[in-house]
Amino acid sequence: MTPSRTVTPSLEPLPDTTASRSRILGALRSGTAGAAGVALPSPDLAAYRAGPYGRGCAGPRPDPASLVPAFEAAARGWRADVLHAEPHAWPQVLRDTLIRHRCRHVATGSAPRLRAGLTQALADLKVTHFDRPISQWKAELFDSVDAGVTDTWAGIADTGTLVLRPGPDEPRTLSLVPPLHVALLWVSTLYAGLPAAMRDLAPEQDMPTNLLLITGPSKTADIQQTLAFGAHGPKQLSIIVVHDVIAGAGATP
Amino acid sequence: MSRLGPTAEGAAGVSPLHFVDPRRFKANTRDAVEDAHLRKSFRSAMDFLQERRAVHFGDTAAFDGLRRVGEAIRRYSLSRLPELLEQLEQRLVERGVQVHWAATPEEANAVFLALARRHAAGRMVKGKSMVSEEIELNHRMAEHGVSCLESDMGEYIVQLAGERPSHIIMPAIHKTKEQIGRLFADQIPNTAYTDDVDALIAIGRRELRNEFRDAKIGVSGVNFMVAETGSLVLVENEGNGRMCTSVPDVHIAITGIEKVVERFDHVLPLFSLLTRSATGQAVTTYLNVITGPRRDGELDGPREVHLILLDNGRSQAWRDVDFRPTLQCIRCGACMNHCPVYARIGGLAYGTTYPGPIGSIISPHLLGLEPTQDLPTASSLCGACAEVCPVGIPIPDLLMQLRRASKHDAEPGHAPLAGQASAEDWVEALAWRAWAWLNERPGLYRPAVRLARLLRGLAPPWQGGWTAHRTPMKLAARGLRERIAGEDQPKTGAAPR
Repeated sequence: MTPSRTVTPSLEPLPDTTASRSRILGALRSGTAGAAGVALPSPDLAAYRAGPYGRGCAGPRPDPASLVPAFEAAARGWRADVLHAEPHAWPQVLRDTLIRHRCRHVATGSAPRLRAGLTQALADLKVTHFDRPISQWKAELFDSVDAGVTDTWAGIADTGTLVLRPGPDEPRTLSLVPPLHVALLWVSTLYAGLPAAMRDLAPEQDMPTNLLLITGPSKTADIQQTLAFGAHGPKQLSIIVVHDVIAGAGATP
Repeated sequence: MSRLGPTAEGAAGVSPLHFVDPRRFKANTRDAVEDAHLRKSFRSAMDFLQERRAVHFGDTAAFDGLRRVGEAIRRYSLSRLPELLEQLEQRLVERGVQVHWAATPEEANAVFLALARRHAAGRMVKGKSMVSEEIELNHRMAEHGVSCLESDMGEYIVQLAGERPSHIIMPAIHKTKEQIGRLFADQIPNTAYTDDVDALIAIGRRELRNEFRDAKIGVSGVNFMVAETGSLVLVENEGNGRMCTSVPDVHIAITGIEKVVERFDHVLPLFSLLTRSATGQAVTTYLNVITGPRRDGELDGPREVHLILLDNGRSQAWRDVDFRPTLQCIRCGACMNHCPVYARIGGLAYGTTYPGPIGSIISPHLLGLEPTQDLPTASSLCGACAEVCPVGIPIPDLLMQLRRASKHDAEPGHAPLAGQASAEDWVEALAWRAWAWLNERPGLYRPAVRLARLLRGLAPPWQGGWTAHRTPMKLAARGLRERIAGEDQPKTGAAPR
């Protein structure tokens, strides 16, 4: 299977939908007489941020090291494996994880902060660096890669969630296609809740092509409400928590 | 008057939709109520979903607080809908997304077909999208030799069985694992029967994996659109949505015009409400935020992203402030899970894309009131739907308004809905007018009631649906007025009037 590298241009014209656009917007605007046309005030999110769903928004940012137990409990609740490593030791923990899962073929990106460690961790394993467009090795990625290793942008303790910002260094399919996804999570990037994380990370300032929140391995309950893992994405998610800050040392985002 | 089928007024050249036909609602309901198997599977599924949700929203005060924020965001977004759509379009275009507008399902399908032809794609792989069900994409494309493969496990099962989804979140909720095991064994080559759920999911995974790899076009729905950033937000557990939007070279998203919000941080409370209300999860496995096609230097992701914005009657609901709250919906399905009618008849009986309470208030706008006139009557107005709705849609009020609109002309200051007054019945209207006339004339009312009471023995023993399960109705021997006069006077000494 060798899908075309570029989208094939063709003469097939696309329908011009500008008339429909005018019709739809016209239909909306024609009905804006009186109360229908009044814009409401922008919603106040203060109550949300102050409430139980906005944990970590009020006051100073909690010490991220103190959030590790909550993160671990939540992530395990979603059936992710959680492992711990000191900053110098994560390559060994990664290596052990891959071996324990009997991975023979590992795909990685080229995130600078992982590069040196990955070389050490993956010695004498078959490694494919994701440094070419996916079309050139799609079959290999789908059919023979056992594990994808990625960095993360942040973690969310309340729900055991990883925040990923895929890009040229780490394509988005690396965390999706292989049956095992191993993610490195740095304690310094832990937040209590989703709104607190998004307020600090502010992805909307420079929205990446793809922003991902990942919580546990892929799953479904579509057959008789029975939970099954590995629906289409990874069957397993291993999170290596790298303790780059120690408790009481404060946040170094 | 109707947007549906062969009776559609002046609908020359518009062929009827294949599956959607709520006109058989009453007959379907009778069949469903008598199907013990279906009732059992829906009852247990609804109990399960209600319990799951209750775990998260046990604290009513916290739920109400979050709901107020969610409702405010949806109401605010809708109040600025035309501007937000223009802003969204501008940002999307800046990011390289091609935006197509479709007033009708036919227009949306024309865009899909043209894109399939342009890319010489005989097959499109689809993530879950109720709007694609609404336009009957799969059937329309099949008519032109383009196959659409559903990849959400529930949708895949339903498609393989040649059926429709019976629930917007759990499409195959009406099927047992044994039925699915037999279906897989019959329909998928080299597949032995199993009723082990893990094994069944593994079969689905195996079958669909090559499809994701080889598809030229991926199709998805959208949960939220962000106007300020030009982002499409998808919420899912399986990863098939990510596959469809990440692997093929072309991604076509389709959604309704009402799904836009202004800011990215407006998505967060709605996401919290959606996942907890839908399946009782604090969070789904994936929240996938897509902003444009693959950029220079990036190694994967689609090279083309298209967004189709569908109206299909939504602007009608939007224009009338009384009906606008219908569009606040974030499609969580909680109203279905808590509806005593839906729990008994299941989703297929409604004959609409969106079943249950939300379906009964949205379908009249999508299809017109003529074919959907029975749907708003399928409610005891118990109010459970409004109580659990995460964005505060007053569903019982809207049902009442639709009942009125199906029987009467539009009130002054309101534009008529498609199919307004289509259920008007002159016999019924005359009977009520006579009743009102009589009630305004006490001098005639009293003798008329007395006469009716004398004839009470003539009440027929068969009174339609009423006597199917009850004793016949008969006038009482003594009227309320006489009883009050006779019983209360000696005790209180002061009977009213």
